[in-house]
Amino acid sequence: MFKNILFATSATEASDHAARVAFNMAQIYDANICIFHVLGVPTRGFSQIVMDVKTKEKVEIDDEYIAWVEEEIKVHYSKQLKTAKSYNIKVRIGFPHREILREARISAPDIIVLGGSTGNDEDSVYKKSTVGSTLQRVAKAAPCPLLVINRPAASFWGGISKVVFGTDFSKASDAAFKFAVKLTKNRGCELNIFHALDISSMHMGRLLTQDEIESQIRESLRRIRGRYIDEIKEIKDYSFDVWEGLPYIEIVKYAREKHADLIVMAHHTQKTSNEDARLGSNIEQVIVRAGCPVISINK
Amino acid sequence: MPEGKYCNKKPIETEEELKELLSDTGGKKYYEEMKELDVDSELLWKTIGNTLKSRTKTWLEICAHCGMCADSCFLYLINDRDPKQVPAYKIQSTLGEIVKRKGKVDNEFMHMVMETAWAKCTCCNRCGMYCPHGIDMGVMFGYLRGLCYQQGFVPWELKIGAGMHRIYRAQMDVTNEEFVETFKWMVEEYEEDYPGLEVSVDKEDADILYTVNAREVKHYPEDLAEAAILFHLAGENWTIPSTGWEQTSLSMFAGDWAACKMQVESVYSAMERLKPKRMVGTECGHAHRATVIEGPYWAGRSNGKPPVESIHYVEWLAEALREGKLKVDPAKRIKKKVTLQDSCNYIRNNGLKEITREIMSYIIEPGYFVEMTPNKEHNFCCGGGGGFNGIGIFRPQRNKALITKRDQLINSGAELVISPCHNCWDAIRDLEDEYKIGIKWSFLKPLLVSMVEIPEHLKPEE
Amino acid sequence: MKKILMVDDDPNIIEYLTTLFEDNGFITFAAHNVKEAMEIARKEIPDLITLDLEMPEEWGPRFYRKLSLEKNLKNIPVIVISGLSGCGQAIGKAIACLQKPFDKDELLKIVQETLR
Repeated sequence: MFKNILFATSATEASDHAARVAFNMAQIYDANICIFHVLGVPTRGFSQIVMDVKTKEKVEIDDEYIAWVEEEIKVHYSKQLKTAKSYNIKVRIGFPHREILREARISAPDIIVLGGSTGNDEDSVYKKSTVGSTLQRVAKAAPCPLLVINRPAASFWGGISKVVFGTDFSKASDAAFKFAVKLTKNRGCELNIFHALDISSMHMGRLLTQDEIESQIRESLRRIRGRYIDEIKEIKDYSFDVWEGLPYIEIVKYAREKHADLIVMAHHTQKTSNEDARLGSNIEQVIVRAGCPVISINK
Repeated sequence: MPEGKYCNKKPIETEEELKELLSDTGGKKYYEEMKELDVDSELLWKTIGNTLKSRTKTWLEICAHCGMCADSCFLYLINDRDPKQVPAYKIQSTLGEIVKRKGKVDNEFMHMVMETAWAKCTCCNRCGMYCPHGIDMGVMFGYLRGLCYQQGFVPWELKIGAGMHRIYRAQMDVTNEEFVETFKWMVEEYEEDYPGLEVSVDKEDADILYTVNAREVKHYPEDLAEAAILFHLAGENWTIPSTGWEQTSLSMFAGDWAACKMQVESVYSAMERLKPKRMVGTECGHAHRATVIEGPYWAGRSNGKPPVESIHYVEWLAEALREGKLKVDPAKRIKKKVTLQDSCNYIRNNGLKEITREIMSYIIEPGYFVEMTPNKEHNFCCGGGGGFNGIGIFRPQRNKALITKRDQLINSGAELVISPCHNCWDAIRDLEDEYKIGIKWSFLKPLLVSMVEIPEHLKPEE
Repeated sequence: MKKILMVDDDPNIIEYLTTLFEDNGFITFAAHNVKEAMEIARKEIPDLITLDLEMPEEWGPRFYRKLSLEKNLKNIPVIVISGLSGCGQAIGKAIACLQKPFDKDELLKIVQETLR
């Protein structure tokens, strides 16, 4: 299912948790892993000087420098590369989200793996020139599924056998569902379909009674059955659940309870906010808080 | 000493030569060899005889040494009023001297000329406005750069840049295929948000032929998407050319006239091939200067105009806002203190000061726009013009030059500066990097995209 | 006497912990992988488990998941002992998480408090 993994990394400790998952995945799926590193941002319009993201120094880029960076990456991942079946290293200059998307367009990987934001945003070399974080921009435009491991705590599962699929009954969720089913069947996983009933008073305008809530839960369960039953019939191990609360919190809690090792959700196309790089929508909050990796599907 | 391996009088014409020169990181060997480069005095004098015409001759002769140009020059002001930074002195001690000596100058002298031409003048033309005789030293330095280039005394990055134009007809190694591919890719990425968004390539008889800056393709492709989105929302019939799409000209900064000619001719030939009603360029100052203002003369067009009416992006944008093709949602107008950078190349040198201000009136909540001092055609160079931004050996001088703009920004009290020019944008980014004054800066396109209303028929389905 | 099951693929750690716990009056069992650990857990029903995270074959959290599905085992307190950085919240319901090299007194204190 995943033969080509594009793993975008800072090649530092900050990406180690993502690396753990990426290399583990390459092993499980016998895939080629492309270690993709954007080393710096062009500074002076047409000159060759680039701001190295790690050292924050301005360096002149030439073939020697790039080779040196590649060597450093090899050293940093030497343990994993010993057992990796097939890998290649690509070093690029530019803005990370743009170069990741460019590479994805050219090499058409089956999945992109990304870690949480690296380092202190204040210092970030990319800070001022881009709107929205790398994560937001890649999630919005990625041509394939995006696997995000935001917290180190989410990187210790070492496998995929219990998948939580979060739905809001939208068309986008349908696409994500198709993917979740494919993944489940491929690995013989257990699939847990979850819907969060949003009862925040902002959303409803008033507090619901418990009877109202539970009746809406029953309705949602019916909806899940109705919408997904055809594909579900072919899966041996599955469950449905609907919990009430603040959606992103409920999904994270549910996944935790189920000891899920993967969450699959749809990414809704939303314009990235102009001034505020804080993550906003449900899936972004889930990515930030989940105790396991999250796959975001946008088409 | 005869021509060096890296530093010589030959322009870069092949990819191999380009890679070779690029491999000399920072131009170390290049500048070493330059120390031994001979001056071909015969060629120099012959060229001057052929190209230094009556206007420049007159200018050199009638300078009254009145010193009025001194205070007009930001480099004079920022360098503690060093008398050697007075524009009249700068040009007289270089071009004036070369003419006086009939081209008999040595290597050391040419080094001094190179530094003066590229680190003591950004060709901002402000002095020309204040000189009682209208002597424009910026124009003369532009000419002088051509003489330097011919002799091989040109900064490393600009030798490379001119080479890029000669090989790729673009300021960076971006091929025609990459340009078209990247544009199409950007449109695809934004299609969902803007249904019907498309880009047509080589459409004939369109209303608008759009040309760009190659670095948008390489590093800032969102800019291409934004341009497409705004044309789309304005309902324009627009197209991009598959060749002749690069409006910029590092060759102009380098003084490589032959390359300048080749570059603009590629754009003119696209215009002739596709016959658009107008050509609109991206937000760049020198690109407009090169392709629309100076270009026709390089290409030998006697009427001084490109084949097709050509306007700067701000002219198109102001018109679209004025005619209601683009409508700004008043609730989304900018509500923080904003100022505007006046780019020398199309404000002072093409009179578009009111056009940019007209745009400000649509996009900024009344009461929030503040002018820099001085402003409009009297505004100072950003500090990075004329190639200054990219020349490594003159970085310290450039960083000093940024102080002028830095102080103007601080004194304006603005939080954001709108800077519809790639060079100015870079200079401001660098000054923030260097001096950390807390300023934010932006092109016009992203601001407009965030605040225009989407017409009903173009809205995405819910 | 209380029983402690130690799960770790590193024999040095097992040896160290065995000495530490036995010197302090606990009975110890050692498992080098998840399969062994489940067998021993089911058989002996330990009072506490120390768990490593990254082991060849299956990893710590998967073991914990299995544990939590069995009536007899789901309430056994687990202490994560791992060399990996950022392991703090890897197993949310673990009563503690110690990063190697750990302070043996701290570990002992937690164990003794838990098994009072």
